[in-house]
Parts: sequence; C-alpha cells; structure tokens
Amino acid sequence: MNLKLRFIAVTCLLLLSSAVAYGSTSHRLAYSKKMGAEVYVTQVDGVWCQEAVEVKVNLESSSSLLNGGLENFLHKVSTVLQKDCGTINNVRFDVYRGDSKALISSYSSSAQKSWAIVKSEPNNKDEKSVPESSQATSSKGDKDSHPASSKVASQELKVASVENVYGSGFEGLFVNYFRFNSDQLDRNDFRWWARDRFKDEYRKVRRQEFKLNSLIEKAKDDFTNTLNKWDENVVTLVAKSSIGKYDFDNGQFELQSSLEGWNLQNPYYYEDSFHRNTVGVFAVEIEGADLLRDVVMKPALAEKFISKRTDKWNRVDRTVYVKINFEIDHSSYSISGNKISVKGRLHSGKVYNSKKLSTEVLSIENSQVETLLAEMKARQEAAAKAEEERIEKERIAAEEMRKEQEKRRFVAQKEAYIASLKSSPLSIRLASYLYEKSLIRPRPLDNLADARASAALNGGPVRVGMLIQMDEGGRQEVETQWPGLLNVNTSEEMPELKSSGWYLVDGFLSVINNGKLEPAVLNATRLQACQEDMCKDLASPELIVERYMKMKFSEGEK
Amino acid sequence: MQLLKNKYLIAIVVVVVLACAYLVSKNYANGYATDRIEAFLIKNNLKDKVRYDSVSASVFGSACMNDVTISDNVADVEIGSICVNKIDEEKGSITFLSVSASDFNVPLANIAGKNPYFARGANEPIYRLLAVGATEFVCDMVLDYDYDSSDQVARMSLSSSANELGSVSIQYKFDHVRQSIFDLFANGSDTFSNGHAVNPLAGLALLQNASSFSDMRLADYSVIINNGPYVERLNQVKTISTPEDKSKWRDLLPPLSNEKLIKNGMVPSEATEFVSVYNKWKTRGGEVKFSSNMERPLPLLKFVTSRVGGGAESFFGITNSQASM
Repeated sequence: MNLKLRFIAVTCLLLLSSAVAYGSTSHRLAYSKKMGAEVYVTQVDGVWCQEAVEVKVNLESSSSLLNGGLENFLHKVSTVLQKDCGTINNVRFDVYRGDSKALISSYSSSAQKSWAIVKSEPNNKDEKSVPESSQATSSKGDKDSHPASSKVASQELKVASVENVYGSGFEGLFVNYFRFNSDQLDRNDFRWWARDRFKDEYRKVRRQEFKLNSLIEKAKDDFTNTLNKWDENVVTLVAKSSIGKYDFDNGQFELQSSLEGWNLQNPYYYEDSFHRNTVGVFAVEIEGADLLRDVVMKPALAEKFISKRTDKWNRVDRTVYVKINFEIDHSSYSISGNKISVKGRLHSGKVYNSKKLSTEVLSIENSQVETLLAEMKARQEAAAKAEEERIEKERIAAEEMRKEQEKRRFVAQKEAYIASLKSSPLSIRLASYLYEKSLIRPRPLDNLADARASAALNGGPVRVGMLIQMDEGGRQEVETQWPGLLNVNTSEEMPELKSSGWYLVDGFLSVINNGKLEPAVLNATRLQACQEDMCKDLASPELIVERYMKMKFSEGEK
Repeated sequence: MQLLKNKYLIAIVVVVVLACAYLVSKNYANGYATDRIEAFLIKNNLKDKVRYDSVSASVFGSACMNDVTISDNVADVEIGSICVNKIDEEKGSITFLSVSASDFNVPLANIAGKNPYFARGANEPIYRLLAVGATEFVCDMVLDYDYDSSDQVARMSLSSSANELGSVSIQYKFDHVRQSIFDLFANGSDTFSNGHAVNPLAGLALLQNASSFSDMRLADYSVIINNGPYVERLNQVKTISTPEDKSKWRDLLPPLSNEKLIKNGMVPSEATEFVSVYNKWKTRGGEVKFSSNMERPLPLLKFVTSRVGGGAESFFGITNSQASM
C-alpha cells in the first residue's frame, strides 16, 4: 500500500471517528475495515481530551499493519489527536491483537519529543483491560461478553447514568423517573434500556426477535439491578456553554444563556421507531442553576484567560463547560404526551475551562447553595423592587409631565375656552360646571324627555346631569317645579333640598314602564346648590374655567 | 336584525288580523270558526306564536276572537278582541266588511329595549312615545270596507285611537274598482304569508294583477289626526334642559313647500293657507283635517308611477287638498 492510499485510508478512518460508545470508559476514535484497525481513547469522567491520553489500538489478525507501517499509522493518529484536543501533551499507544486480545506493543508520543512515535515498555496494569466495546465487537460469543459488560455497567452506572455525554443526562433521568414510576415500565422501556446498556449486542440482534427478546429480558434484569443499586436523587448534566465579554464593572464573565431550563432529548428517538414509545424528552427546570452563570475573575487573570483563548486573528474561543449536579424533586414529575417535565434544585456545580473538565473557573459546593440561593433571591427581589420603583417613578414623572403639558396647553387656550363658554347656552355652561370633560367636549345638560326615553329603553336607571328647581323641601321623593314630573331623592350626606331652590344634580333617573305618564325618579349622587335662579351663579365662564384648572391641575385636589 | 324581527312581528300581526278576521267573518258558528282558525294557524306554523282565549259569534252576524296573544322572541303583542262586526258576500267576494280590534297592546319599551341595535334616528316615533311614558302603546281600531260592484265604487275607512295619545281617522273613496282586486285579498292567507315571512311572491302576484289596478281612481279622501293629548304630554316632560333653552327636537314631520304645492296644481292662496295650517298644527298639535277637493278623480297607477319621489306636496297638490284645524 503506497503512502497515498494509506493517507486516504487514514482519512476515511478518521471520518468514522464520530462514533461514541455510550456507557463505556473508552471513546471509539476510529475504525477502518480495510486496515483492520480500531482505535479507542480512554475517557476520564466521560471526557477523553486530557493532558495525557491513553490510546488502545486493536488490530485484526488480517490487519496489514501487523506487517509494517504501524508507527506511521500511529503518527497520523497522534496528529489527529493533537488537532482534536488542544491540551494534549502526552499519548500512550497500546496495540492489541484483536483475536487473542494480546498486547503486541506499546508506544508513546509527546510534545516534548516533537510527537515522535517511540516504542515503550508495555503497561502491565492495563494489559488485560481491553475496552468494553472492543469485547462486544470481538469474535467471542455474547456469553463471554455479558458478564464483563454487566459488571462494568454496574460499576460505571453512577457515572454513566448521570454523565453519559455532553448535554445529556437523559439516562440518569430515565432511571430516576422509573424508580418512582416503575408501574409504568413496559417492554419498550426495557428495549430502550437494552439499546442504551448493551449497544453492540443490541445492534446485532435487533432484527432477530428471539435473540432480541433474550436481550430485552437481560436488560430488564439489568434495569432492576440498577434501580436497586442506584438510589441517587442527584443527576448530573454536562453542557457546553460560552461566556460573554468581561464585565469590568463587576469583575466577571457571564455565561450567555440561562442554565435553569433544559430539554433532554431521547438520544435514540430518531434511530428506531420503537424508541419513540418510551420517554421522548425530559424537560428539566433547575432552580438555582443560574448561580453558575457569573464567573468572577480578577482583571489580570481574566486577561490571561482570554489571551490564551485568542487566536492570531484575535478571535476568542469563549467556550466553557458546565457541570451541574441537581437534586430531582420527584414529586414534580408531570407527563404531557411523551414529554416528562420535572423540577430540580442545584446541588452543586462547576464551570470548566475546557472539555477535559480538569480546570475549574467556578465551583459551587452543595454547602454553599443554600446561602447563595438566598442571596440570589434577595438580589432578585431587590432588583425587582428597584425596577418597580423605577417604573413607578417614571410613571409619576411621565404623568406629571403629561399634566404639565396639558396644563400649559389649557392655559394657552384658557381665553378661547372662556370665549366659547360665553357664547354657549346656559345648558352647556352648567354641564361644564358639573362635568370636567364637558368643558373640553361641550355637551348640554340632560332634558327630562330624553332621559325618560333612555331609561325606558334601558329598562333601568340611566345616569343624568340635570338642572332642577324644587317645589317643596326635603330629602325623599321631593317634587320639582322644573322640569316637573320628576321626584328627587337625596342621601343623608347631602344637604336637604330647599323649597324653590335651584340645584345642579348628577344622578340616576328611572321610569316605570307601565304605559302611563308618571313622574320619573332621580336618585342624586352629587348635588350642587345654587344661589341664583337657574343656577346662573355657576354659569360664569371665568368661574368654570378657574374651577376646572383647580380641580385638574392643583396638587391634592380633584 | 332586531329591526327586521320587529317588522316581521308587525307583518305577522297584520296578516293574522286580516286572515283571522277574514276566517272569522266566513264562519259564524263558534265551533266552525274555531276549527278554521286552528287549521289556519297550524297550516302557517303560527300555532306556537298565536294564542287566543275564545271565539264567539252572534246570531246578528258578528264574530270575535278574544284575548289574542301574538308571541315572538322579542315580546308579546296582546289584543283584547278582534271582531268581524258585519260581512256581506257577493259571488264569493266580500262586498262589505266591518272589522274592529280593541285593546291592541304593543309593549314598545320591551320591543325597543331588547333590540341591541335600536337607534333613535331610525325609530324616532317609538323614541318619542317612550319619552312621554307610552312604554305600552294601547289602541282601538275599526276598519270598514264597502264595495258596490254595480258602479265599481269602493269606500274604505280606518279609525284608531290610542289612550291619552291621540287618534287618527282615514277615509278613502275609489272608483273604477274591479272585483278581481278583492279576489287577491280573499285568498290572502296563501298569497301573503307562508307562515314564516312575508311571501316574496306576493309582490309578483300584485304585478300580475296590475291590470286590475290600472283603472282604479281615488275619488275622495279625508284624514283627521288628533295628536293633542300627545303634545300635552310632551309639554309636561320638557324636551329642554333649562327654562331658557332654545333647542328643539328634530322635526318628525317634513316641512311643506309652497312652491311645490303650486307646481302640483294648487292655487297659490290655497297653498299658502295649507302650509300655514300645517305648520301651526306641527307646532302646537291638536286636531287637523286634510281632505281632497278634486275636480276629477285621480288615476292611482298613473299617479304612483309619475310622482315617485315628489314628496307630500305632490299628493296634496294634485288632490287640491285642504287643511283645517
């Protein structure tokens, strides 16, 4: 195989590197059928990108690399690793012969040695720890792989179930939900679990119903064991996020999005229609998660932090990784279709500099959460109050300004209003005295005929403003001289109606719908006694305008 | 919509009054009359809308439906009695008819109040009646019709009086009236109503009988209106808001033009007198009489087709009407 072909092969091999082995401690970096090689990178806490990386290479018995070109191949793998992981310094390669699982040789490569591939002593500690996925895909039967897989799964569960991949704690939530709702478990859920826990086996048997059934039975047992062993109420989510620009006033970076709401999608939802018959999505609300948003950093350190992330074109890599441990409130589970909503509360959390999750830039321990939450709530409440006060202040200021402008406009037109009133009939002038709005939009007082018709049509009392002259004095059912056929009622708070006295009245008029012409009844709600006949003393245009200004624009008076 | 319903109600009332009157008039015996009325109501789907207490007939030729209630979703119209006082027939057509209705009670406030689209402008007469306390409009009506087939002369008179509001009396005399016109009304129940709405084909039927009307002439008319009690009521409730208020309600009756009356054939001095009396009555109210003083009868069809849009002056002028108070 010439160099060009090898390069193509390696490129193809690297293109396949997106495969991720859920629930395993190794990340399958690449696989090439042609070269008979499979490359795994060991993960720590679900992350393979570390300063020192261990790579396991399984070569099939027919692999051409057994006959030469291995070091060249490893060099290319090393190059890819450097490209994918900026923080890598040291790589150790253990090469296995796949059929016997025997360690053939070990190599190392480091930045210190300019990434030269150097043969090294075998790592005895890991000599037999072939990656789980490798076992699953090996030519050995399932019987051999099941116990190991099951064992590994059980040991790994706390990690795997809570942090399987970035941004998804789906498995952890899946376990937690069914821990409290085991009566809802059915075959589809166990099938999902089989897919999740025994990926490779599942892939092999999914089209053969009997084998699949056996696997589902196995998954059922495994899930029951899991429920028995894993009784945590804390689930972890790891997510990629980004920081905003440095806030020099507060000396901090702020994460650009809220961490309180999450939608965790079933990772196999679109892979197989069977997996749509289980939980489709977990909608999680985490109280206090936003405590992780403010990354406080001194300016000098912040500058260094940003400098390291700045490329030659001054572009800044603002990516950070957030790990949130949250406590599930299992009483808050609610179902809508295949979506399950749940609420939680921050237990602890960290913000990391890089994908390796090794360098923290912010850490909140469980013991701090209570205090910080209380502080945050107090801050939020204070901010809300301040905002309310600000809005109220603005409203008052706007209202005062509006009033001032209105007053200015009114004063400018004051003479025009007086002139208009002077040329208006008594009815309109008195209405302007009785109702403020009537000065701006002139209308006459009500007459009895119209008021009667309106009340008859309304089938009940209608509001009226009328000029009346009393026939007799009193408070109840007092007959009027003007307009006649009208009886007036007043309340105790109002002055007693005087015989022959003229009044301006605001109130409610009603009639009896019996076909006869009987006196209407006016229940007064406001009464203004007059000194002169027809209330002419209240009809002075200057008086009306001054009174309007006093009522409308003076402080404390209305 | 409500307005249409009101019109529908009025249409039902008119149809029911005419049809019931006709049926009652044709059947003197109580039982027979009752059967015919029941059949009529069922046939026209009016059974749930029209109720009556009893039917009575006398040996002297009168027949009455008593305590009639015409119901609609809006309100009930109550009629104390509808009577056919006398009826003569000749060759299957009615030649004399005297019908009366007493205590005809229309609950105006209910009908108007339940109409959410009630607008004063379109319902000014109702509004004015409500203003003077006529929340229930109660009246009596008498309709007389006399036809002489030998000289083809028909006389009609309608008089109505409403409690404490006023009265109206209308009399018309027509000549050249063919008997076929009345056949149309004789078959009224089928022609004018299908039980749900006024039959649109009625118009077509009228057109088909247009030839029957072509020669018909108005020989004489007189209208006496007395609105004195209404005006008196209105003066009591005051349409102004202060004693010195000069504002007025919009004129309900149209103004008459001297020139137009003269243009339509009235002598100038008589036109002036007519307008003067008319305006005086409009202002003060009371009893007024309008009557014709024609040299020649007025061909009705010709008048209607040539004077459409001519206003009241056209009619008063061409009939050389006189007004007196």
